[in-house]
Amino acid sequence: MTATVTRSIRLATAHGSSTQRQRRAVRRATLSGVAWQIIGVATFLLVWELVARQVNYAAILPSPTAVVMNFQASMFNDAGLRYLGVKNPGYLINIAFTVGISVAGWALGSLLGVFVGLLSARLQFVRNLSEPVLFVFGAVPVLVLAPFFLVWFGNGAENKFVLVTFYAFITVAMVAQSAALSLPKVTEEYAAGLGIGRFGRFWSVVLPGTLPAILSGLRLALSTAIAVTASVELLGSESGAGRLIALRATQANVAAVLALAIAVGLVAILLDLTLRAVIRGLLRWQ
Amino acid sequence: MNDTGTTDGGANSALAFKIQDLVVSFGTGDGVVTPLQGLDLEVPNGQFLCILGPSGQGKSTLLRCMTGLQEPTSGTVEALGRAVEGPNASLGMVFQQDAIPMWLRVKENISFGPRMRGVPKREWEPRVQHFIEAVGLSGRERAWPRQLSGGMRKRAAIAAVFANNPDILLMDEPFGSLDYFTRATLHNTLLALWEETKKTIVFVTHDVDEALKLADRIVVVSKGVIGADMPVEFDRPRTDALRTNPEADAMRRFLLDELESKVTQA
Repeated sequence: MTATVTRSIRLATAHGSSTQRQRRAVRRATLSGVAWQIIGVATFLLVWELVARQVNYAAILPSPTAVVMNFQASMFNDAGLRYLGVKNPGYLINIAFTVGISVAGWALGSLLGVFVGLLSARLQFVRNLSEPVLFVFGAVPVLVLAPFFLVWFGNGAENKFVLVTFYAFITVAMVAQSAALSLPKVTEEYAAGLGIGRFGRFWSVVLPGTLPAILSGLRLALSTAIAVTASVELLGSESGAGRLIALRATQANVAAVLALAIAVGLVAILLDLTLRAVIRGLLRWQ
Repeated sequence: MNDTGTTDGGANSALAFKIQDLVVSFGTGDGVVTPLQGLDLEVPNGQFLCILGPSGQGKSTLLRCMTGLQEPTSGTVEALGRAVEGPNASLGMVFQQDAIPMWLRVKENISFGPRMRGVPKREWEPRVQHFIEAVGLSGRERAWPRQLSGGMRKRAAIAAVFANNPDILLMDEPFGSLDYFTRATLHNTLLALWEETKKTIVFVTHDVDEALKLADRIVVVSKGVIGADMPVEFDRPRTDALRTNPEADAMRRFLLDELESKVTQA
């Protein structure tokens, strides 16, 4: 009896220590991954700084230090931009404008996309109705459609919001439809056998079953949304990071162009990291 | 109304199933396939029926008609005195594949049916707890299905169907993908639940030994009709001694010959 207990304790201890060892190994691997990422970024910045110093011509290649200083100087207000007629001449407020429109359009478009995509996979008439629109307009490049939206909705926030909503809708609807069509029927049949009706099966089987694919579609749509907004702002807009980039480019202010582009990129990465954290929580079962 | 969503009147019928002249035809690219060709079958209440047959003889199509997942081309399927018009809570199903939602923890899975049908928690909670214990999943209530072995996931599926309190259970080769030892343990679990609940079970298999161990009655489906129909009257529990029982051996040989001849003809 005592021997058995001792053996059980030994086994439990061995199991515990092996789990701790595994956790330590995972932590070490994560840390080493982060360390390498930091080394990669630092090396890139260092090489950039050295090359910029060699070139020594800010209109061709400004140094990272010059880019940071430019951002710092124009973060809240920029007299040059005010002179050019920009209503809110700070970088931050314009970046917030671009990101805000992107996120709002993405949220609305994605919501509609999930709904229509899943419904079209289950109802033939919805599929017939929506598929040609999804496939045809999904293949049209944004720079082809953008001028029409500019004419229809003006150069304010509306045209970008509608365009982003439209592209997010198409991306997410196509992902949701294909995920629902490839969902194995057996879980739905099992739920039907438990007496769960069509509506209940849609919420409790189809939606969670397609969630992994839909969430990937949401990430894709979010990065596309920011790119679409910034691109449309380059064509013509009252405000936004794209508008400022276009103005600075005409002044050959490369440091400002890079500062704005990198800032928008960093915000996009932050949004993506947040979304990934939410996705990890929602997909714990995987 | 009971909590399976059916009226209690039907459960008093002496027959769990009455199937008459059942025909199912599919149009395929190459022509028409008719897996069921005028099949008749009656299943008394409380019986453990095994439907035996090689692949492609119509046994799974028959089970799908019995569950309401397949609409017959002609003929009738009645469950507990009423025509089967679609899947419902009185006809619980267990599939060969993993059908339980992988995004629900074990307990959420086992209570899935009653919860989604709006059965009050005070009614389903004790039953769910009972079947979790009965299938040996105590302590794993919060596990995700991916953290369980194939056999444990099958236990969860069986517990979920029993916890939903159907009148009849229909099982389509539920243990087909499991190893010999896991299958043997699950046979015992299923028999214990059947003896406790006295529910009608219709169990599709192509394994003669599995049918001999489980069934009150074996029917062989061949070419879309019932080819052989025999009672299995060995005492329970049926242990390994059944393997050396001459009567069981004769039955096994007969069934194997039946199946072999169908495979050869096919």
